[in-house]
This record gives sequence, structure tokens and C-alpha cells, in this order.
Amino acid sequence: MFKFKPKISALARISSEIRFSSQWIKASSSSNEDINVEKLFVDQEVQKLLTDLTEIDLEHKVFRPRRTSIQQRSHFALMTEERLEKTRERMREEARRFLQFVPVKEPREESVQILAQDSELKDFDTSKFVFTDITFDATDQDRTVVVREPDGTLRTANPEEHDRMNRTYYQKPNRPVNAPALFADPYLQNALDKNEHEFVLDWACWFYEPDDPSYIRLSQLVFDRINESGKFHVITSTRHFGPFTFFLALNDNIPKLLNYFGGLGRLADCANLVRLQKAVRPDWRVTIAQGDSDEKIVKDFIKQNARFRDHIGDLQAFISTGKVKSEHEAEKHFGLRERLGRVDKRRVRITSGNIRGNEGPLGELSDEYSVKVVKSEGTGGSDGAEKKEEGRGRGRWRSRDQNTDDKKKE
Amino acid sequence: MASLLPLIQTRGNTVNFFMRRSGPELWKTLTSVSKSGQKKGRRNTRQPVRPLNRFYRIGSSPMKVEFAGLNAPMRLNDENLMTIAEQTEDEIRDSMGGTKKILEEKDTGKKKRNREKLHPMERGFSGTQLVGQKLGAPPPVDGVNFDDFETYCLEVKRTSNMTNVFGRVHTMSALVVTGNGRGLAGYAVGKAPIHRTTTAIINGMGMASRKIFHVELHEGRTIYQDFYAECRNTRVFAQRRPRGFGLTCHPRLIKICEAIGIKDIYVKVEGSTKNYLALTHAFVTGLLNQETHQQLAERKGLHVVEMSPSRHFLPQIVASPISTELKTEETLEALDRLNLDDFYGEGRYPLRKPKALPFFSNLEGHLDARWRKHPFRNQESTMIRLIADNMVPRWTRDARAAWAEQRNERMTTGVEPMPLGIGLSHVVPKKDD
Repeated sequence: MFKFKPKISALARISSEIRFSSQWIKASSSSNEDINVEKLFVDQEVQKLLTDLTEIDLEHKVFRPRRTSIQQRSHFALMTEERLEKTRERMREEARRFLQFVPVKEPREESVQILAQDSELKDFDTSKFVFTDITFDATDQDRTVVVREPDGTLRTANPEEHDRMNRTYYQKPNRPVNAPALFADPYLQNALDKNEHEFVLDWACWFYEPDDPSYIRLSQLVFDRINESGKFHVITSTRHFGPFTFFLALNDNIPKLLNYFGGLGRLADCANLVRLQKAVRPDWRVTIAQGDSDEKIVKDFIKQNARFRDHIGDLQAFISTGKVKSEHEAEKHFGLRERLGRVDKRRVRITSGNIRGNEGPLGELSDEYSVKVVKSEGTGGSDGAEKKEEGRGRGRWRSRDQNTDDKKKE
Repeated sequence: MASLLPLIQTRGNTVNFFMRRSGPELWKTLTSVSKSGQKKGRRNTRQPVRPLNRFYRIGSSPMKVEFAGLNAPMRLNDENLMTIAEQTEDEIRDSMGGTKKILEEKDTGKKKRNREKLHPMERGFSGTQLVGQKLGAPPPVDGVNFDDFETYCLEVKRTSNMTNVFGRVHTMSALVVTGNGRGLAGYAVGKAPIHRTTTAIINGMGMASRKIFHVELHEGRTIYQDFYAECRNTRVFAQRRPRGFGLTCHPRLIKICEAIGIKDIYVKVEGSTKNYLALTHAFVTGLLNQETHQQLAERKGLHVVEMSPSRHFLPQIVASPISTELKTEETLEALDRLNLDDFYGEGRYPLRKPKALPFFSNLEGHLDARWRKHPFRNQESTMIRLIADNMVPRWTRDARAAWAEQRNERMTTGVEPMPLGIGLSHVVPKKDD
């Protein structure tokens, strides 16, 4: 055991470095030279660009209301402004941890290493014998599994056998034998029609290892369908957005995503996307100088890629008119903006700013009447607040108290 | 008409008590209650006048006899004081079956009423009693109508009072709660003379609709904060609960919560749990003493922040002070740093008792049965997994046998490899004889 364990891992390492074509680059894409995708993905510059592109939307994406497994009531706390800001900063840190990208990995090697060929052991049994290392410190990834074939060959296990042995000795509740039906059509398409892309990809992460060929196939399938349908909003601010953008840049397929960013008026993201494409494909024709501004980069891209003109209408509209897509659409459908503009009364938090206005508790009546703020009994002093004396049950008592005070003064 | 005169027995000399008194006088001896007896409450237990002539009326027999002056008009110069009236066959039959018919129609002592069958959700606390049932909206008062209100009767009991004239006087007393399910509710006690349960409840409804109060509800479904409230020997610990939790509390409190419109709450009642008036009073007092988030923010001069588990505890401002200055970290006192759940409840917490194990948990037979079931502990999850993976269409013997048959066929034809190896017995082919 001690002798051949390093040997096997050394063999595996060599095999992973000698790789000719990547699973992440499609045959249809223009380049045919070799790129080490795994290395490129963890490159610092690429990671920085991807992180910048993944916008962190705490309210609506990362920490949107989700169903939890245990029923628990919400907590309430009293906070000052500083404390609240500190808590929010902590949540942003947490969100950054949540949005750690799923690693982009090449599929595992299918080939096996033959360790020994003992012809004298031929026909020792009708079955294969599988030997598994179940020592405490062996992890599921580096566990030694070897197979003795009936013809006397001793070889390392292929990935499928390796997984089966892992499952036999270290069962995991999230990895049953058969893959869920969701990972194949028509159920997959049903889920994607309901914009459940994040759910599918999260479950795939839960079920597969990132270097599993099935995972790579499934995630690429989902990425392609997102790009086809243009539903980029379903995957922004998730941990899959980095790999998704990387996959698009790697395959020279960014115009639709550029158009999406342009439609939202996010010019810096457009420029970052072009920079990413350049970082992933250094041989790309578009040139980016060191001191170029965001707008110049994007304009250069549009100028040099006339073939994408049909795909990037929103981006061009934004650059020429400075209006984002929703404004254009609001102009088209005039009533829509009014409908969106109307605020749900119950949702609005009442503050000292809006209490006198239309959003306050009095609503539209506040135009007619002036709103006065009165403190309740327990709150003490009356600094700055107007007091309403009439119509209060305690008024009589208060006046009596005041009278006694006056008498004492006298 | 034939005369029956010779058949009459005359006993003119017999004069006794019963012949000297009239019927009503005789009944009075049994049924009357003296003045002093009335004071002692004997009026309620007096004997009723029994209708003795109900089934026997003079002259009504198969042979209808007419007694002049009794059941027939008296005529002068009539020799026959008693005659037999002539009847047809049908009349005779009717008179024969008359008593029987009356007896059949009359119910035999027990109260047998054909009540409408109530839906299980509409039934009250017990049997066919009105207590706990939905009683509808109270009648309108001064042009204010209570159409969207629902009324529940929580308790009907007999109370008694000692007077110097009548002795112990009993009264029916009904505790009634009414509410519109959106924060408005009222409760009251209605009273009525003894046995007038319905009257008491109706009186209570009327009173309750005049004593309406308003309870602020958090998100329109639960209370703002955990509270403690007490009345007499009843102590109430109410706790805020998440959406979808439901009402986990005393049955009477469930009805009160339904009337007010509370949907999620947990309440522990300690002390007397049978004094429903005190229970209601304590609970309502606790509800009314609540503080809304806006009031809390105003009082403390701080933001009230909600951290919901469904949002991974992302802080969201619920209320911020309007007229008070917002405090900063430097001006904060030690009291302001207290956990908000410890603010209320006066430092009291309900007694938590672990659930007692059933008596049989340590019996030998039970332990033995558990041990016998032990090998099959994973069978259910396996079943669920196989059905979920569409291996077996249904968990019936036939379906499973068909599946096994199919697998056997696939293995014999070599489509699927035979599971062989360590721990699996070898397949020994049958010898051909």
C-alpha cells in the first residue's frame, strides 16, 4: 500500500497535464489551439473580472426569501445606524462567500493504469476483486481503489468504479444511485421554462462532483439554453454566473450578454466583459490599450465586430441615446410606468420624511389636512414634535398637574 | 236506546274524604306549596297536576254510553238517564284505537329530537352543545351592523346567589366572544334565568358587541412580541410564531384567536386553566398591552430591524423613529443593548416539561418488538427511493414480482451483469435428470 500509493497519484498527475482538447471549448468555436481551461479559470485577472461581473444583489437574489427546512420565526433587534451598517457589511461578506464560483474542471480521466500483470493468477475467480482504501485520512477524491481482473491484471479503478466504492463505504444522503429525472429532458426543459435555472444547477452541484463528465455536460446544456433564450437575469448574482460568463467568453459568444448589460445601462460591465474575452483569448482581433476608458473599449468592440450588429441593439441604443431598455419600453407602453409607479401602501416604511406626504398613513388625504405627530404616553419629552392637545382623555389630569406646579411656584 | 238503569250500583251512604272534595281541591293538597315552603325553594320541586282523564273520558268505551248531564244534554221528562249511543263500525274501531294512537304519537320519556348533523369543523367543544360553535353575527346596534363578525360562546354555567327572600337563586351565565377576524373583537358575560341557556348567550352577544376593542396584529397574523399576562390564578405566556404555524393553545384561546384574527401563536397557560373568564381576560389584557414596532422605535429611538430566517437573517428595517432623535452608538445605554426577546414577559418563562415516556417504553415485550423490527428499519426509505427512481411502478407484490422477473430475464440474456463476488452466493445450475 505504502509503496504504490504515491506511484498511482504521480501517474494520475501526468495524465491530467497531457491533455489536448478541452471539454469546455466547443468544436464549432473558431480557435483550435490548446488552452488549459482549469488554469485559465483560476488566473487572478480572470477571477477579478468574473467577480466584478457578478453583481451582488442581496435583497432580490442572494438573500431573497427562500423556503427553509425548519420553521423558525424572524428575529427582531434594535439597531443604531452604525450597527445596521456593520451588520449589512457582514452580510455582504457572507454573500461573497455564498457566491464563490463553482470550479471549472475538465472531466476525470477515463483511462486506467495497469499496475501489474500476474498471469499466474489467471482464472482465480469468475469475478473481479476490488480493493478500497478506507483508512481515516483518505478522502473521496484521493482514495486508492484498485481492481484485480479475472485474467490476473491489477489496475486502478475507473471513475465509475471509484464512485461506486465511495458510495459503498461512505454513503451520502445527497448522492443516491440514480441521477434525478430533472437532469434530463423533458423535465429539465420544464424547469427551465419556469426560470428554475439556479435550482437545477445548485442541485447538480449537490449531486455531482465538478469534474464529473455528467456535471460538465449538464451545466453546459443549461448555459447554452440561457444564452439562447436570453434569460440572463435568472443567473446573475449566483455562484454559476462566473463559470457561465467564462464559458461564453471561451467560446467567443459574448454579444448577447453584452447586449443584456447594455440594456441595463451597465457600461463598466460591458467593458469588463470585453476585457475578459481578451484575457481568455489573447489572440483575439480586438485590441485593448492600457488606458482605454470603458466607453472606448465598448465602442471599439462594436466597430470591429460588425457581424454582431443584430444582436446588440440595446447596447447601441444605450450608447447613442443614453437610455436604458426599460425606459425605451416604458415610452412604448405608456401606462406601464404609471402602474409600476404606484407604490404598495403596506410595504412603505413610514419615516419622518414621508409621514406628511402621500406615502404616509393618511395617504391622499394629506393634501387636504396637515399631519401632526403626537408622542404616545411612554416616550417622555417633547423635543421638536408638535403636540395635539385636544381630544385626549388625559388632558384634564395634565392640566391639573400643571396647576399644582403653578401653585408650588407661587 | 236501551236503558242501563238496573246495572247502576248506588252507594248513597258512602261519604268519605274523596267524595266530599272536588277534583281541583284534591289536586291542591298534592301540588300546593306553602309560603314558607316557597321560601325554602320547594316551588321548584312541586308535583305537577297529572291529567288523569286524558285516556279515560266518561262514556268513551267501545260501547258509547251517554250519561245525561255528564256527557250528554239533560232533558226534562227523560226517564233514561243513561243510554247507549248507536255507532257505526268505523266509529267503534276509531274509539278502540284512539288511546293507542295517542300513546304512539307521544315520545317515550326520552328527548328524541332530529337535530341537523353538523360538519365536524362546525361542531362545538362537546356533543351537540352550543358551546364552541360558530353563532354568527351579533344583531345591529344603533344602526351599526356587525355583518362580518363571528361569535363564539366559550362557556355556559349555572351560577347561584343567596337571597333572603327566595334562598338560593340560580342564573345561567354565558361567556361570549365576538370578532371580525381583522383585529376587532369583544367579549362579555350574558345572564338569564335558569335553564334559559340560549337567552343567556343572546344577551352575551349583545353585550359583547358593545364592548369592542382593537388588537394590532403583526403582519395581520400574529402578535408583535412574546408576552406574559395574568388574571386571578391564570397565567398566560403567549409567543409569536412564524407564518403557517397555526394556533397551538388552549381550546378557548383558539376560539378567541379566531375571533380576533390571530393565525399563528403558541400560548402556554399555567395555573387555573378552567376559569375561562380569567383566561380570556388575561389573554386580552396581554394583547392590548402590546407595543407595535413603530411605538418601540419611537420609545427607544432606534431602528427596529427584522432578520428573517428565510432571507438568511438579512437585516431589514421594519420601523424607525419619526419624532424621536435616532440614537448613536455612543449614546446607547446598557438597557438598549438587551436582546429584544428579553424585553417583555417580566422575566417570566413558561415551565417546559419534557414529554413523559409512555408506560410501556421499558417493558420487555416492547423492547423485544423493537428489536424484531430493527432489520427492516431502512425498508421504507428504500421503497420511497425505488418508487422515486421509477424502478418499481407501485409497491405491490405483483408489481415487485414483475420487476424481479424482468431483472431475472435481463440477467439470463446477459443484458445486465450478474451480481457475483464476495458475500453473494454462487449460482448453482440445476442438474438435468
